[in-house]
Amino acid sequence: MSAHVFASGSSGIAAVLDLMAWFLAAVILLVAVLFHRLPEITRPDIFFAVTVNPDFRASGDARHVLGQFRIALWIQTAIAVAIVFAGTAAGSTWVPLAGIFWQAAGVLAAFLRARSGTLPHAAAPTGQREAELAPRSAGGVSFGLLQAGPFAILAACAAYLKANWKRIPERFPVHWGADGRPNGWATRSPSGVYGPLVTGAIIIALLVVLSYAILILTRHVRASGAAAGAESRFRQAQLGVLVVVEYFVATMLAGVPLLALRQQASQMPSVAPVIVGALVLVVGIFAVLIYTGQGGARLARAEGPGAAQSAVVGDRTPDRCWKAGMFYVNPDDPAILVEKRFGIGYTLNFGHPAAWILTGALLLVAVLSAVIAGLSTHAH
Amino acid sequence: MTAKLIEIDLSSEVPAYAQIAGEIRALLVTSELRAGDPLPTVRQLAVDLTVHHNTVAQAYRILADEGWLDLRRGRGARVLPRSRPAGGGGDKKPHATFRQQLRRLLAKAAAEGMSPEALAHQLKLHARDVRGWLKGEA
Repeated sequence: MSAHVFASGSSGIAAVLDLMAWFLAAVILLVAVLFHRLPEITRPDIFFAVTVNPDFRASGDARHVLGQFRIALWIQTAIAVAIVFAGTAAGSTWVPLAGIFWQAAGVLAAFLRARSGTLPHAAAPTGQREAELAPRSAGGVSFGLLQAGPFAILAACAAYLKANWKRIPERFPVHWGADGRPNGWATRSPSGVYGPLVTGAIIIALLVVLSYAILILTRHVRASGAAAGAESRFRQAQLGVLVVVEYFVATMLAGVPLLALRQQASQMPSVAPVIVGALVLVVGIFAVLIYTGQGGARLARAEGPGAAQSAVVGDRTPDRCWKAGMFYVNPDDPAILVEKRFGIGYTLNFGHPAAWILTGALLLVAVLSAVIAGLSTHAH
Repeated sequence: MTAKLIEIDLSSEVPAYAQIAGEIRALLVTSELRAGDPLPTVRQLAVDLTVHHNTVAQAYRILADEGWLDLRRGRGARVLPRSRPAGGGGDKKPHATFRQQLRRLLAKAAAEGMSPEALAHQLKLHARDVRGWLKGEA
């Protein structure tokens, strides 16, 4: 469902644009706050995507690099917000969106500058490696059942729609414009009714694959001590976030065809629960990730001084394989998923053929979802 | 149950496969790994140690050839019950190889400044450990 949530009925385009400007400004500020904190939630021995000794963070050099990054971040953010409001004042729909791109480009430039400033302080690469000699668990039956839940929601919805097929109008709205009136319709056909459910199943299947990949394929960077325990809890938090997103997607996409069964199907549905749900989800995800830190770094730090440190420095990936500090390309590394250097979670090793297959699959899912949405919806 | 760890050094002149086999063998000899215990898949251990799959596969094959591991396809690597080969047989080659390796190791330690007393102490400690393992096996 993609109803225009900023709609306020008859209050006019100007009011909608004004509301949109505030929304964009809020997004830009939220992104700035996140990037302001991001250097603190990476592993203690990774600083602006460069491997450093953990005590480097407290040095004057590190504080200088961090300070310069944050000054640049907030200057670019202020310019981005100014672009949004200036564009809105000029009555443009597209100029305010340029504010988002301005901020993205500004943050990227600030990050690359900070990375260049950190590289001379990089720790010497180490060949020390440790590993736990126990097979990984695939999560067991309970994890499998948890992953099956979203599919069960979609299947139950499909069964309910089939049983109530005759109650579904010949033509029902699935998209609403800024004025609150429907502008996208679906017909009572298998693609029109079941299309959103199929889209949901494809997206959830991809999230399930990602969950199992995190569980089985990711590298355990720390194998011993408090840092290993924290890393394990971090991995569980990542899986928890994915499961919540799976259930959210299932609920949302099951809800779209069910709307057709309402008494007054042409009226715009209340979007408040969707907005509140999405906000709670986004804020909750950020809170969990900031609480754990990358690789459980903050959890380990909370256990006392020295707990986050280990004889082994870094995340076992060489600095030189991180292109622009963001893209990992290492054909000699057997890992497909590795921890991000800047940010939280995992990224692909583009030196591995499987990473390209996975990227292709992601693109395919995006295209398939668009095609299914196109088949099941029409404008008039 | 404590985690069984192995440590290797990729900058060492000893090949990674030999280090991996040596580390696992030490856990087997000391009965920290027992018959029936499963080992990680080749892929998992390769990812954790950032080495090629073939490196881990070679280490597993060495241990399988020595009779420690069962590598049947589809079942993963598993520790086999293995009794210690009887000593004092006609084959003197293992003893000669061991003597040669020990001699090199001692020479390296001495070259790095380790005193003869410290060397002797270490050898005594390890000899005591070995007696303990063999008693446990009996």
